[in-house]
Amino acid sequence: MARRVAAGAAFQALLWLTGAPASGQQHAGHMMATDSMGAVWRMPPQPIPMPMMLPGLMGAVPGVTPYLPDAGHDPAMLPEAVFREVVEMADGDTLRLKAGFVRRTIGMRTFTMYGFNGQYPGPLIRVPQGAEIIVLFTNHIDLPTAVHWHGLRLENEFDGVPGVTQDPVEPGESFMYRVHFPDAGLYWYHPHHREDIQQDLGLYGNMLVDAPAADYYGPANGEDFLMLDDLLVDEGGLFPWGREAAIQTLMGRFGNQLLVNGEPRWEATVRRGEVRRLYLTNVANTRTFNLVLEGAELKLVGADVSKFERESFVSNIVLAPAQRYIVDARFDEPGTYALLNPIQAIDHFNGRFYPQTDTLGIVTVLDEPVAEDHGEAFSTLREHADVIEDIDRYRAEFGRPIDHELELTARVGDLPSDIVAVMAIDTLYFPPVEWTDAMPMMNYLSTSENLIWIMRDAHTGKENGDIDWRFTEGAVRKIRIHNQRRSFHPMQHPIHFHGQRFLILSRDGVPSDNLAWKDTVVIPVGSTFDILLEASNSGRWMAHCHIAEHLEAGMSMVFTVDPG
Amino acid sequence: MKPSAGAIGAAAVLAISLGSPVSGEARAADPSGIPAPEGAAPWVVATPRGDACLVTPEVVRLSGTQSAPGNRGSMTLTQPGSPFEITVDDSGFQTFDIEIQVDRLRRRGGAVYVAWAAKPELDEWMQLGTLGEENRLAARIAWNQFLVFVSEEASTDIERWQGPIVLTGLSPSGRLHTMAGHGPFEAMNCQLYF
Repeated sequence: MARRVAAGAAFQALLWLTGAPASGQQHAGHMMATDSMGAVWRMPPQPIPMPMMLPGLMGAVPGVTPYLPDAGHDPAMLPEAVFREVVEMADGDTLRLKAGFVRRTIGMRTFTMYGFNGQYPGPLIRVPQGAEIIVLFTNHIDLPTAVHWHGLRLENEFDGVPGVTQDPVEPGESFMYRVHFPDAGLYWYHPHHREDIQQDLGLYGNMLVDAPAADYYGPANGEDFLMLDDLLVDEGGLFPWGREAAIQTLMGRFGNQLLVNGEPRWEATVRRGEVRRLYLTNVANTRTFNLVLEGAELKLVGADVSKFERESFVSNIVLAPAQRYIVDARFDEPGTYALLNPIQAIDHFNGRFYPQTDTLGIVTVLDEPVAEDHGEAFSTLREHADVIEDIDRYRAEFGRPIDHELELTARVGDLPSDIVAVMAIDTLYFPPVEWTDAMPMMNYLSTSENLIWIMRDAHTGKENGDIDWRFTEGAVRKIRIHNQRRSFHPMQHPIHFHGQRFLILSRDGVPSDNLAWKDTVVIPVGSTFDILLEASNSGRWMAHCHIAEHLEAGMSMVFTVDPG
Repeated sequence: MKPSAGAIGAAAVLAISLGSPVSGEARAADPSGIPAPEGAAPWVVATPRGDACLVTPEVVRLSGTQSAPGNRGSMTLTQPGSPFEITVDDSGFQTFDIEIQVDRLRRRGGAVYVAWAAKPELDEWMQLGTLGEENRLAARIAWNQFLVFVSEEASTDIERWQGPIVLTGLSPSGRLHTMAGHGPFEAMNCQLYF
């Protein structure tokens, strides 16, 4: 049986080689199916020349209805989105937040998208540490939704997870969130209901929690907030999403238009010698970024939920979906500095790597020197005693036995058998990270109905929603997470634990030597990570892969923290 | 475009040698008991149990050559420490710490054994170091695909291998094939190394 399947796949592969058109064109506009609102399935755009589809699968479309926001309506009738505002709030303040339709112009093209308060990204909420605010949220989009306050250790009932902490907010309805900010750092908010659609269409915003100490971070001349994203477009406009279920669940939805703060290019102008603090957030559905600011010195200061124990100089910054980093950049010489995303992509069809570099932005450095030179402070790597002291309380637990083990894997349902067979050949090698959509046709046909992504408790065999971990508030637990190399299509998974914080103790048995509190850890293919979870916040919480399509395809679980 | 005879052969080798979990356990019962959605085909169990949650670095085999057929060893790849969970350089190359362990090596008196890495096109190479008495060597590399081999030399003071190759292997990414072959080393049976 096994050899028959594999041999059939090899034969199919040869057919593909001989029958495939030599093509470099984008295969957009190959209309195949439509829904009553005018959304149309067509072949997804290809990142590189490759055959459009296995000959036996020509004409195949995902088994769900295509969805576009407010399809059939004229975007000219919608308000043009405006760039985000900074909303400085104090303890006890109230924010009205509305999710609604907006008109977005990206690269000379106009799209109907979503926005919080008509802005892109959503308003930047800036609060002092320890504050609590009220958010009166109203849903004016065409789908049920909710708002998740990513990374915050807030009250459970306001975590914004339909099915776990609240019912979805139906169109036209409202929900009141009480949002508490116990930890200084960079956070973000986004929908937790069909986020494969809603987040992709622009529903996201940052939150910055300022520590009371003025010298919490080193000195800087200015700051920038960069939300990194991508959007999948073709000649027909926005590429449709699945209405009843997510599509592109195999690899997640990679966009072909990279965005910073919703724009194709970020631009900044600074003075010579300036130190800029960059607050970086990856809000893409699935894309991992490898950021380089060409020519600038970069100093890594903080991660998701805290600063690192020690600052360090870095040449590049790797952010998986949902992760945040705080980085200081210094610009010594006048000129232009490009913000790049250099990666080594894989062409699975031709069996090769190829370099791909996208330019995300440009920083222009004027010849005029900065008024206040922080060069000396920048060149000094600070040790953060507050972080070290905080972590010291947990070091005795670093050597504790593993309390729980999760394996990350996948299971296929009724994906076309040719795809299953060809992938058996194609995935003899699994890269640690998939940086691009290397197999867009196969990805296109995968949905949350024919592919399931799995978090499996290795001790009990329970999977996803059947897992029932319980902790007592104040408990510290060591969790091992292993991303199986041998599965249908292994891929990296950014695993996010809601409402708590954790430390990454080791990767593949190698202890971490510079810790920071995190809420999201990305596990490359084949890797094993040990994390120390501090169960500090009672309630029923979700843990899940933050690739939006993997979440839709089942890759989530719930754990309970009982009051201590 | 017609595939070459070599490519067809390679595809056949692949097809026959595949004992992959996907094909091997297709349509097996689901051990978790989760039912398939109504109307859907039965779940394909794509993942075997049993290797869960171990630290399992990539290990590839180093094999003897025609001139040194009995030699053998292994190369273990791990990712070096980094503040990020993914270690790539500023060109996007994955960085690996590699450890070569030679289990069997027929040493010739007076010879030294030098380990090398080379890109598949042989346009770039680097000396990884010399195998000591313990037949062990560690190095770091940031290439996509590469060959690793050990040559028998009279001296370590060489920029390029001169003596016979006595052990050879491929990076795990050497398994990245075209749909019917694998590039410049198409004739090589890369299955040998894994």
